[in-house]
Amino acid sequence: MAKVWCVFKRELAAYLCTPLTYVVMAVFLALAGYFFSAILFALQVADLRPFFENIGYVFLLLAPVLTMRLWSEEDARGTSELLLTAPVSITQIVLGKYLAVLIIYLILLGLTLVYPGILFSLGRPDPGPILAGYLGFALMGAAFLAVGLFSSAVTCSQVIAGILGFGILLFFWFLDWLSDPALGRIGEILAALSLVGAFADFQKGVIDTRNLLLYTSFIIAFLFLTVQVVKRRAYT
Amino acid sequence: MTSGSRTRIWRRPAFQRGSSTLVLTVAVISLLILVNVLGARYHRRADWTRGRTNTLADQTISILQKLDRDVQIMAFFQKGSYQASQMRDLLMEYKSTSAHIRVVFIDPEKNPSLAKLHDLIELGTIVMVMGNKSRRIGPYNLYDMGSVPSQRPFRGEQALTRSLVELLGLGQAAVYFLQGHGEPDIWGDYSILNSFLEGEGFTTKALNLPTEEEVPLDAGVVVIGGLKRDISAGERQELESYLDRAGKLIVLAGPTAKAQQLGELDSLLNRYGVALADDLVVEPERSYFFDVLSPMPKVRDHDITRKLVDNNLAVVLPQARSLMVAWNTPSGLVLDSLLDTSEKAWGEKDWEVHSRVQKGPEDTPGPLTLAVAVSREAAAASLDDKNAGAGKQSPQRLAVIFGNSSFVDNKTISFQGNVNLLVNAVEWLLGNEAIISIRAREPQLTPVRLNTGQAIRIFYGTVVIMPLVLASIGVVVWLRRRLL
Repeated sequence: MAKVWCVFKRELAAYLCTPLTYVVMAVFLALAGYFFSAILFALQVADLRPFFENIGYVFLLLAPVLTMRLWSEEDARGTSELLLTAPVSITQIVLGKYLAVLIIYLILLGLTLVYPGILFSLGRPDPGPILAGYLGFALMGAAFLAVGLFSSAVTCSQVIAGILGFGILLFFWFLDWLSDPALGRIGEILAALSLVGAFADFQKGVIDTRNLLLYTSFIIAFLFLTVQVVKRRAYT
Repeated sequence: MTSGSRTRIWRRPAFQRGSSTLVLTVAVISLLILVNVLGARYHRRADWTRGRTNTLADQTISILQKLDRDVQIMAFFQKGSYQASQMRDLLMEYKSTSAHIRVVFIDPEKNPSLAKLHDLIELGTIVMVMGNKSRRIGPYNLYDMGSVPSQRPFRGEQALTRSLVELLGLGQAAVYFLQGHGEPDIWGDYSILNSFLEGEGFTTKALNLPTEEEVPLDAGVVVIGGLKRDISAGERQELESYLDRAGKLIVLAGPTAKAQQLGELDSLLNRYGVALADDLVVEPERSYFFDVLSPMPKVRDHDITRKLVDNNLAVVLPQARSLMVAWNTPSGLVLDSLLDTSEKAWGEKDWEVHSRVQKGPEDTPGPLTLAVAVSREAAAASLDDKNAGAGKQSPQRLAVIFGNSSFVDNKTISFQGNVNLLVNAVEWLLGNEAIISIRAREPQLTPVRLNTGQAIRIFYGTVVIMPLVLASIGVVVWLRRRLL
């Protein structure tokens, strides 16, 4: 764990010293604030559910931007050989990098807690769906970041990493549309893999162990795949 | 080239590394899939909402656990509508509880062929199909009464569960409509009422007494509605036998021509201390758009009418007759008036003779009773009874009699509280033990009132100031890097 911690600190410092991080956070907060206030003014109800629905799409676009530099920048700077030959395993490197970007994401999510604070100052919203919504959004975002990390490991180009990550996330996001009568059971199975489908329960205040398991599985799967991709690069 | 200098492909390090990576990847992904499949089968759900609005009632869970065949539920809703999201939330709970529930949302505008296939008339309709049986739930069955549509309690769970009960053949009691005397047809003038009752989970059937030996045993309620000719003596006897074995009766009796007296029906109603007055109600004070022959009576508080009273809903009874009620009947019957006219109303006796109604000395003065509920008090527990603490038993509910039959025909049924009045009467007669009754879900969204100052502060604070602070930090970081 100490080695993971070292990698984590290094990556976190890199994020906090990179202007891009603050640009992404500012853009996210601007869009999130706009959605929150527009929905509040239009619906005049103390409910964050429409906000969560919309902000999910925004993070779908921003997650690849946050993660595209994780491996690609190492290649661009020529530090990847140094990192891979350091006395730390590839798994530990991947975990350290992932935790760093996850903390950045959780800080960003923490800043949006202003919105439920505003709702509580104006009325009596139901805290259950808000708590569940944030838990779901944290898990969903963590899954997005794992996909983004994998995309960054696959290619040396940050742009391609960003586009690839966005494409993979979009595919898993829109699997929900496959619950079409014509596709039958296959459609149902594919729809069950949808990231947006799993988020729907959290939004309405329901915690289902299936959804917790789905997001956790996504994170484990893509972190595992990232380790395999980096190992392959190390040997070639 | 000799075999010694050519390494077999499967012995090459790159191949071995690649194949072991592939095997490991397949194993890990397969394990994750297996864990998720098991997790889907043995999952737990926790409802964190105030009021547990996402938790199904025990009755629903019990019914869902009895399902042994797939039930396809097609929900015809406009995509993105609030009603669609409410119904989706509910149907996802049903789906989570039973693997036999299949849910499909269809936007009729995007799938007109599917909508046509199911004879879809209105948005917000649910069609449930199990094998070769199907049930339809209309949009009016999904919401309780209320003047503000967005604040109406949502009754979707009750509607869905009742329909499941019918599909499974577990049966709520059937509602039989007497036929053969010129009554409106349940597939004709009473078709909307029929659809509404079916949407509430009741099975409706036509009853032609001359062809039946007796009133069917599954009859929960018999409705005698809109007779144009009297029943026969034999039919009256069959109905009396049915009522003697705790049958329930609803009578919808509007005015009939003097040549068509309803003497046998009157005899039947005499057991309840009620008689049909031979008149036509004229209501100059409380009438529908000044039509004095369409009274809008006062709704009295009763279990049947409570929701109408609470929601300030009126009823209109075009062409009504008054009821003569023996209020102090000694037979232990309890008679409760449900609908009364004003004092200025009267019962016009010779309405067939004159073209204009005018109060005469022979006419019955108001206030007049237009609907009455009949029950019988059960005997109270005696003081030396061992179970003295049990208290009084529930009254036995017997009949609801209306002096009008047109308030639930297709032309008038959609007026305010008309359909709910009759459906409530059916539910009251059958009692909670015989039917599924699930609490409606109240809207959980708390409204927020913003003044201009608050709105401006919220907007600039969240959209401008917070992002600007972060952007400023980014600029500082960038400047520091440039200066280093």
